[in-house]
This record gives sequence, C-alpha cells and structure tokens, in this order.
Amino acid sequence: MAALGRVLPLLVRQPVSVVKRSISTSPRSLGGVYFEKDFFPGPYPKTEEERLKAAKKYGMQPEDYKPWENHDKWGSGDYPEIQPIGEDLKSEYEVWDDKSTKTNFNEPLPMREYHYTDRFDYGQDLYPSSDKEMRVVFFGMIGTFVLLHYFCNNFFARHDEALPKQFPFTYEGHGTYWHKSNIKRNIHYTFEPAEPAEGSE
Amino acid sequence: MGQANCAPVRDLWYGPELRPDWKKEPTFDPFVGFPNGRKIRDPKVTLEEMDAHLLPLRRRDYCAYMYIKFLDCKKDNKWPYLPCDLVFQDFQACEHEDFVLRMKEYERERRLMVREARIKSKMARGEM
Repeated sequence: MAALGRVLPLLVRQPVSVVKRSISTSPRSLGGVYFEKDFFPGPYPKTEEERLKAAKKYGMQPEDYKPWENHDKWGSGDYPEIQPIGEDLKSEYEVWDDKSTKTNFNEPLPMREYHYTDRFDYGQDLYPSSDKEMRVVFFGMIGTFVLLHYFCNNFFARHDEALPKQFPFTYEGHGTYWHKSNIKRNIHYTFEPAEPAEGSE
Repeated sequence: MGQANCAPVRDLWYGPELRPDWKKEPTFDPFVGFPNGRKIRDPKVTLEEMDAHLLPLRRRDYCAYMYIKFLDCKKDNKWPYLPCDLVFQDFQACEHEDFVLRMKEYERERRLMVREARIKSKMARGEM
C-alpha cells in the first residue's frame, strides 16, 4: 500500500491548474479527478447571503445566477444552470481569452461539458426540423432535378457525332401507302480506294 | 457519353457553318479528296432474300448478311442457341464498323465545311 503510494505519483500526471491550491495526493484521491473533494460544488444556497456568495464564487452576476431545480435529485448543489451553446454560435468579433475555444478565463461552463465537446454547433439545427422545412427541402431537391432534366433535354439534343445510318433500300410509304415501285436503291461509298475494273490494264 | 453530352455545346459554339447537321445526309461531293475513287458499299444480299427472311426495317442495312447468318444458326440449333453467340458477335462487329463509317463521314463533312469557311475568308481578304 505504501509502495503504491510512492509509485503512482510517477505514473499518473497531475492536472495543471493556474491557481495554486493544495490538492490531496493520497492514492485514494488519485483514482479520479472527477471525485476530487475540492472540485465539488457547495451546498444548495437557501438564504440570500448564500446566493450572493455562490454567485461570486462562480463569477456570475446575482441576477444571472440560478441553481438547478432538480438539485436534490441530481446532487448539483449550488452549481448554476447554464445553457450549453456551441462554439460556432458564439460571436467571432468578441475578444476571447482563449481564441481557439471562444471561452474566457474562469467562465462558468455547463454542468455536463463532456456531452457537448464534440459538437461545436450545438444549439443550431442544420437539418430540416419543422414540417414546412421538410417540404421545402424535399420538393426543392426534386424540383431542381425536374427543371434541370427539362431544360437540358428539351432545349439541347444530345447526339453522337455521326451522320444518319445508311440503308441500301428505302421504302417510301412504308406502313401506309406501300407499293413495289416505291422502293429506291441508294448508293453509298466506303473510305477505301476503288478497285480497278477487270480487263483495264 | 461525354462526347454525346458535349456535342450540343460545340454545335452552339461553332455554329451551323462549321458543324454539320447530324440529321441530314452529306452535302458535299463524295469524291472530293479521293484521287483513286471510292469503293461502292455492297449489301451482299438481295431484296428478295431480305423479304424471304421477313427482316424488320431496322435490320435491312449493309449488315443484313450477318444477321441472316445468325438467323440460320438459330434455325439449326435449339434454345438457348449457345453456338450462335459467336455468330451474333460477328454481326455486332459489322454494326460497329458501320457506325465507325458514319463517324468518319461526319468528320469528313465537318472538315470540308471548315475548309470552305477558310477559303471564303481568304477570298474575302483577297489572298486567293
């Protein structure tokens, strides 16, 4: 047990914090920072004085500070109710302390931050969500294809770069007024030179 | 597929003076540019033979003799006519050659049109 206490600090990296504070380094506490005693929220504030102290602790204005309603079921204590918002929806023209994540130092974060870290556009619906939006997207796509098909196939004729097919006989009036005298013989040529006629030397 | 889709674009770009109409027969004299003449295409089957086999209109072209060979092979065999697959491939080869000849005619027509336009511009400039 004591040997473990000497080896574990070398294997586990301590979290870096800007503010110096004394953190327990006993083996029991090194198992998980999530259960660090110093990082737990305080008890639920019942009086006005406690509310002001809690608001100051989290760096919020007293009128903005609001603890969760289900604090007794969740055990959130005096942690404030903060709506999560994606990084994409935060303004680009405000001067942030950390530009890459658009956050300020000691900014109060949502309680379950890990739920939203992989979605930087949380809070924004990029897909159609209402009935009207769905109809617009669906018929817009189909209508675009229909228009494109109509435009490209009715105003332009696609064709192979070749002249019409060559038939040795044409049948005038084929299918209706048909007679043997209506058959015509056509002459077509290949691209080879004509053979000299027999007997011409 | 790309050639067929680009053809109308080229037709619009170059215009009817430089691009032949693909629905019309050739307009130039067939012997222009052939000092030794041109061989006549021989259908190799008579009208009576085509009528005897009751060929439809689309098969009464210069590859009818190959199609008739295929029909005779089918007559001598039973379904699924496996030995007739090679005979049909010969017919397809003949049709391919026919299509290549059509493409050559188109290209010849196009080049003669371009030549005509070139000569006209030279005459207008007074170089000829």
